[in-house]
Amino acid sequence: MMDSTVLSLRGLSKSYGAKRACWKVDMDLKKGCIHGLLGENGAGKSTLVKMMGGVVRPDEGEIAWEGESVKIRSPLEGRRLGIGMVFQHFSLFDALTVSENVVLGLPPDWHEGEVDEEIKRVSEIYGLEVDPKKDVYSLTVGERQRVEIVRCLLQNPKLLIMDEPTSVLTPQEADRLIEVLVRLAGEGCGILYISHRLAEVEEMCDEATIMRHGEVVARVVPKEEKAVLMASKMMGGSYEKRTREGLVKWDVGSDVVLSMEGVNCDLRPEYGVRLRDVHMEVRSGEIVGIAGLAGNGQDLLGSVLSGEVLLEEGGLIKFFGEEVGGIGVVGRRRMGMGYIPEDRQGHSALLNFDLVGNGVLGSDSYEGLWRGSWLQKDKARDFAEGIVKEYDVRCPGVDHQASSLSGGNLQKFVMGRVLKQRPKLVIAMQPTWGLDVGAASLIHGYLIDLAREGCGIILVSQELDELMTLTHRLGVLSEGCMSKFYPTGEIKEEEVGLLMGGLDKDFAEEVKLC
Amino acid sequence: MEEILISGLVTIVTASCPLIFAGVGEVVTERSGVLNLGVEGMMAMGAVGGFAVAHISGSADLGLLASIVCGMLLSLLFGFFTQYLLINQVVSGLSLTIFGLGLSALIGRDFVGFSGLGFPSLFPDFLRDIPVLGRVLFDYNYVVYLSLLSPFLVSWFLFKTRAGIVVRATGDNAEAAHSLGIRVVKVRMLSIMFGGGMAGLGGGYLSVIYTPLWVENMVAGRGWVALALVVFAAWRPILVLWGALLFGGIAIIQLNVQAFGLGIQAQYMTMFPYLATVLVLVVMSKRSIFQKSPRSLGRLFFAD
Repeated sequence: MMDSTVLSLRGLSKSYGAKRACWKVDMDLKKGCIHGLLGENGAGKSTLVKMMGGVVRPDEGEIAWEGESVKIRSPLEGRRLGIGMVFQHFSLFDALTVSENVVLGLPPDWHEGEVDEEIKRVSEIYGLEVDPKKDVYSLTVGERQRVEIVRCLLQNPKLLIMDEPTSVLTPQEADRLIEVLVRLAGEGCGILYISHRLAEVEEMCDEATIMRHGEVVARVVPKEEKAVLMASKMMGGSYEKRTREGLVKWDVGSDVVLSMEGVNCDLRPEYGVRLRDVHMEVRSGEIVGIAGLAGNGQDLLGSVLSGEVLLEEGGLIKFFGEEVGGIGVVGRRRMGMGYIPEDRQGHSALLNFDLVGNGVLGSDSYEGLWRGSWLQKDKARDFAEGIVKEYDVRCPGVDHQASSLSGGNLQKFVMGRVLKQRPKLVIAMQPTWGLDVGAASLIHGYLIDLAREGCGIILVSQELDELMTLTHRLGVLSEGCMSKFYPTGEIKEEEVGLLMGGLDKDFAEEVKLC
Repeated sequence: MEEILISGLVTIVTASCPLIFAGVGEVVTERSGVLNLGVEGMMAMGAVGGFAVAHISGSADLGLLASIVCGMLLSLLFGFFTQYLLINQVVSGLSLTIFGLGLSALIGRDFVGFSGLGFPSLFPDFLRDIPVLGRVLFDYNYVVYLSLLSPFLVSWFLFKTRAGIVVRATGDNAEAAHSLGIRVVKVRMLSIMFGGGMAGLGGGYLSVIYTPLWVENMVAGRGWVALALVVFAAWRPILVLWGALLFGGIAIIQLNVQAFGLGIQAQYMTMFPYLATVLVLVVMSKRSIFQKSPRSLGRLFFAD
């Protein structure tokens, strides 16, 4: 048989200062094969991929392309070889149109007119609908990703590298993407698929490499290996999938911590959806889940609950019976409402501030941090160090900028900051979004402990698994309307799926009865 | 009355020229993600260099060429600081203005008091003799036509050519441009040089053709107006043209306030370009992304 290896890596290493991002990595990628690359955040996956694409230069090691040793000094050279990359953070230009974006990835002899035709052709073949004339800033995340993929495909890549492509997609979009990838592989393209979603890797990858702390720890055939085993290799220890039975077994208190009664909120330019007549109740020690696809009003609900958007259009929000709809963020926080926004980078943390600064911000109700208007510097330091220690935040030190932390560790820090203030209610927006299994299960653990101590929790999430295992009751937000809340043990995933699809409540009810 | 209107129109066009040159140049610089606040200084250098060379060589064309070179040289300095030494663009730009004003005064000491050369109109007499139209349309030198044409050329470049897309992409998202293999620093250096050359030409136009003589501080804030103009025009070259005519017109009115018999203090007129810019920003701020600055504007970039 002919050697079908497209790209092979031998002993590839890269260090940043004393930190080894990648250490002697070997890997072979074959034609027509979907190769999974698994690892926790910070395992070195992204660095490895950047070296393949020519974005980052390796310190040591060899890269061979179709059997010949090559040096990929720039992304351009990588592309000329036939390596197409779709990055985790989009490398699109917002102010340019789709076709302008695509043109930039192509050799200079292309003309824009031809490109439009090609975009249409390729997008029809693979079912990746994009309108070449649209400006990129007006596109949804899913559409943007399609543009990136189309841009790669027009270069006829022999190897397509996808860096966590589904972490920004709705389940439906993710399914479509997987179809496209399988099809591409069928046509002979090699695919490197980076993910920490085990289920996906299990479903579609022919082989997989697992990395940990910059090193390859295992090579597996996912279809034969159990997901649990892959997860434990990824985390370097034992891993047990949490089950509902093992977790949610404490009693819910009788105090109503928070209630929303007929809350309406009109359209605001920065949120796509309005809230209509939302009712909700959270008791002490209860985890209430809110499911729904992205963009169905979760952001606005979060802002209304946190006080970033004050109620003006009717309805009541009561915190221990007291109306708080007109009280702002600081006021609510002082009353004991903790808020964990979805966007860690910029919303819940300031990336250019060190951890001490980030700890202080939003911690005004923590005793001892302030004397009058004066910040107690050593107290602030102790506070940040306390968070780091208690919540297992892995970082070089509290003097380092928040941007130096991985997503998971930053989230643990944010979480710790809120929990240290002993809140009576926590609103957690997609707290495990984009996190690896290890970090996610820690975050889940913190939420559970919190609820056990009698805190009420509102968990807004797109991950149905998470909601099904953690919550007591579950509701679905669809186009700004809240469904009824169902005890989690009594509703099936498919039924939640129907509610997510925006089906009529009564109809969903009927389905439930059948 | 007719005479006043015609001469008013003509002076507005000629007064707008330096603003158009400097503004259009700065549009390209800023579209590539670089904020060069040194326009005033580059114009001053262009003015003194242009006048000096024209005076010594006796050729106005050579003078204009020299003004472009002077503007470019000064912008190269700025580019070196911001693109290679990664020094803050605002600080570098402001320093550039102060430096350019000082240096131009120093060089210009020996050229104070001389008057410049004449500069012929582009079109032959029979066209210029057409009543009204002749004076309004055909009575300018080629530099004026060039300035009126430049916004369209630059607009075509930015929006229709691949190189223009590259410039805009660099200004929108430098990291992404780098990952696509665009050489960000090179693109930005070239854009800075274009901006510098155009600002220099704007200054050269002032000293070689418009006044034509050299005095210290003769740029008189036009560089700042050009900077405001770029924002006013939402980084679109053709809008720079209309904005320049508007601001140029205001400058002329300011000079002729008494002749028109208006009871407006000259200071209000000086304020106008900036006030207008702020007003436009307020009105446009929520409209669309195209009223916003290039996303990478003023941010430093370096590759790993």
